[in-house]
Amino acid sequence: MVTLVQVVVSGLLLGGVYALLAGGLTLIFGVMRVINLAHGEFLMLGAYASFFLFVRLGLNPILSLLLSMPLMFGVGWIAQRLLISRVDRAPLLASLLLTYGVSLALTGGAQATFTNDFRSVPFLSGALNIGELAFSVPRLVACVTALLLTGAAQFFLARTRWGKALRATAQSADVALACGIDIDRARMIAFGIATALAGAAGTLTSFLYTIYPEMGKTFMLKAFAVIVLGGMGSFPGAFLGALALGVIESTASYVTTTQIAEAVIYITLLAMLLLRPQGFFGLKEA
Amino acid sequence: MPASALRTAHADEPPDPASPITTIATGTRGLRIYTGFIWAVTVAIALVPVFGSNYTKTFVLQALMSCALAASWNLISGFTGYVSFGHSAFFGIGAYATGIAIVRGGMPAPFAIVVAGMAAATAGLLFGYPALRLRGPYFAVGMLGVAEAIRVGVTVAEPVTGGGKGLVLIPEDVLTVAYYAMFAVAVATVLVTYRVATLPVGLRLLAIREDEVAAELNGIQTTRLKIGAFAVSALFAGLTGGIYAWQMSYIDPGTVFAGSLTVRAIAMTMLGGQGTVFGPVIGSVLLSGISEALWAKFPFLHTALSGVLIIAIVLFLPGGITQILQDRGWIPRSRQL
Amino acid sequence: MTEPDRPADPILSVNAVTRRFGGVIAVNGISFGIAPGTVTGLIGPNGSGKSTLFRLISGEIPADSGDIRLRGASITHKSASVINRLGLSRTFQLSRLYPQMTALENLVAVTRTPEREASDRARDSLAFVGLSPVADEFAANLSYGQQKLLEFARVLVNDPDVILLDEPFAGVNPVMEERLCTHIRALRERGKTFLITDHEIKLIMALCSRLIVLDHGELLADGDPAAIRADPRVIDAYFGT
Repeated sequence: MVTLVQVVVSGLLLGGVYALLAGGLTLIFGVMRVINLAHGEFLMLGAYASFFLFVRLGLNPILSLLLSMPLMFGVGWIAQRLLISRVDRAPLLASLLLTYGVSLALTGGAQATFTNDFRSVPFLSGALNIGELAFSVPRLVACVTALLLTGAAQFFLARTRWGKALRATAQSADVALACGIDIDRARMIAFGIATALAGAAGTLTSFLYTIYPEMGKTFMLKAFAVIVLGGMGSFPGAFLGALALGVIESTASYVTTTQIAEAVIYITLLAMLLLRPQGFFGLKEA
Repeated sequence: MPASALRTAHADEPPDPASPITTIATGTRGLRIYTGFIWAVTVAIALVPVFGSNYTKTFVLQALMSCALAASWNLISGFTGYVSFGHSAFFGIGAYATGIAIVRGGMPAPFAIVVAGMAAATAGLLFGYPALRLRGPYFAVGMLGVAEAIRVGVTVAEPVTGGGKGLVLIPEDVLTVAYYAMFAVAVATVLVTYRVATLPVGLRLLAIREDEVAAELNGIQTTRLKIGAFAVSALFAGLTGGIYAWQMSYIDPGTVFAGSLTVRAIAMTMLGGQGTVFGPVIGSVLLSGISEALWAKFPFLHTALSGVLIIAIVLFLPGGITQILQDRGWIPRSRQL
Repeated sequence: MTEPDRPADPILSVNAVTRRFGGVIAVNGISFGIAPGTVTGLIGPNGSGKSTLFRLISGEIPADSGDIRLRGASITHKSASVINRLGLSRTFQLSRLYPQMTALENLVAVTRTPEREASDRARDSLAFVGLSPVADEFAANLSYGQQKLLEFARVLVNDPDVILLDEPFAGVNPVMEERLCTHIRALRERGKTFLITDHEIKLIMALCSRLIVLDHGELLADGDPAAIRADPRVIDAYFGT
């Protein structure tokens, strides 16, 4: 029983970070129907940013978010303005291929600049014991930070003027336009926020996992599983999907091996697509 | 009403002998250059093993593999618009089926490769049936998931597949034979595409891309067609993977299920022209050449530059070279191209 | 040989068909039968259920309950392509052509005859609606009226018995209107059955021998045009405000 609780709780802790990453992916899909295959690379950039700020300036990764998130917001804004905006009304294939190109360019650029060496941020360690349960401190900190940021993003989407504009654009770009919403700006904001969230997820993973140029790929595939579970385009759905996936992954790796756990993730994704493609809360167009 | 009833309404109209599917207007100079290019490339490729070095052979073999993959991807995605981001699944299945048949079954390579092609086609039927019910982004993500799931599955099934360490086939020096086998598969894929494109069935596949609901409501059996095209596409990808495994005599999950295989095929098809017959050929010739040149000049920036190249294709040539030539009137608008 | 006096069995019958979207009942227990070789108008205000009924009959969406029959055989649970193959075809309010295909290719794609005949049939169908001169133009480049005619030709190419026309006159100029009416009458003479929705009441009155009026998803009235015109409920729901 204790182990079961332990497994579920570590799954939930894992899920918090996934929620941060997948939230951005689902936001981009919701607002402009673009599947951003470069999302994992934005996580990678965030991780490297934290790494260098930590190593060179000794900056606490959590504090470094104050610096890296606005920076990543700018990166996303520019990516949307220069690249994505030119394909977000084109057929699906164009945006898929374009974002894959961005992903390759970023991975390759990182390999050339940072080398393929594995790096890590020695920040936080140890475990917090509550009764018979033990929680890894870095994971706990990562999860709490992720939940705070996801909550802030949800607040922005639900309560602020621009958040509402984003949701209106997601419902129908034409109607939003007719209502006087600057949808080009809404899209840049959406992409900026999504990128900042991915970058923040990168910061959190920087002290949980090793950092290397191709680290984004695995995370991105997991983020896909998350948004399929939650329903593509739904921000709250991504949150629940992330927690579900975290628990599924944690349980599967406890019961079997890490590799089989990975297979379980993809099988979950496929099963969900077949049984309920719109996910828990998705857009009804599958 | 008898079939001829409609005709009575305009009995005075002269019958038009031309084919229903847009055909080539003869005598266009651009067309001669276009077809000349295709023929020149084909003949040059056929002659490479006679005159070329092993390096050239290996490079062209790689390009032929890309061409076959691109052309087979085009058969499903270029025509029907169902963007498969998991095409490497069928290449990988072909490669592993060949490897396993040779290593564990003691099967001669040519048989193993044919079996592998059929295995991939069967997988195409099996995955296609559920997956092709999904629309647009859901299908794309679904196929991405299929390819990853199979890659992980192959990695896990270590006793049969050798797991993540890979599978060593019986090493043979088969470069020239494999070269011609790959050539044959690439040509066959393009010929099948040509046949499809010049028959009404090609138009039916395009109708699915243009408006699937309208296609269905006009009596086109979209499900059957999509799955059929998907299986044929998987067959050729599987044969390609089989020949690759035979020639390399070593395969591992990370390589033969790599998403980059799919993306190269997609980028080549887009560059040449989706849903056209020779688009994938042109795209693979150009992109293989450029890629090789970049690799030689900037080995460290190769990945990054490939990314930039793909971005450039999407931004500047989204309709492909064939369409640009047609828009300028240099070659005719024909389904035969 | 059927006796001339006996009314023919309906070629298309709709029996107590209901369809909901979420909480909204778009079509509520509608029943009617249509005799072969007739032109029937299906009218009603916007949102009265006409479009949904068309989608139900053509098999694009399934009915929640009820039964739809073609020549007496149920097509309720058949797929759209099968229903089309059984001889029931429709057009759309906004033409749904294959834009990147030529006019001729639009027809060849759906023609169900051996390859050689397909071309001839497609050309015949194009000629019938007077579109032969634009056979090799991309559908996307045709004018609005030509697109409507092309869609009509695409429906005819497989020689269906029952043809559903969804607002064929919307946005069509008077010359085109007249041509379309002529085609419809000519085809009716050859035994084709039409079910037509439109807001051009004058045209519908002139063309149809019977009108079915829907309102709020229910069948409000059913009869010959003169009776419908005089029906106070119809005037209230439709012509009134």
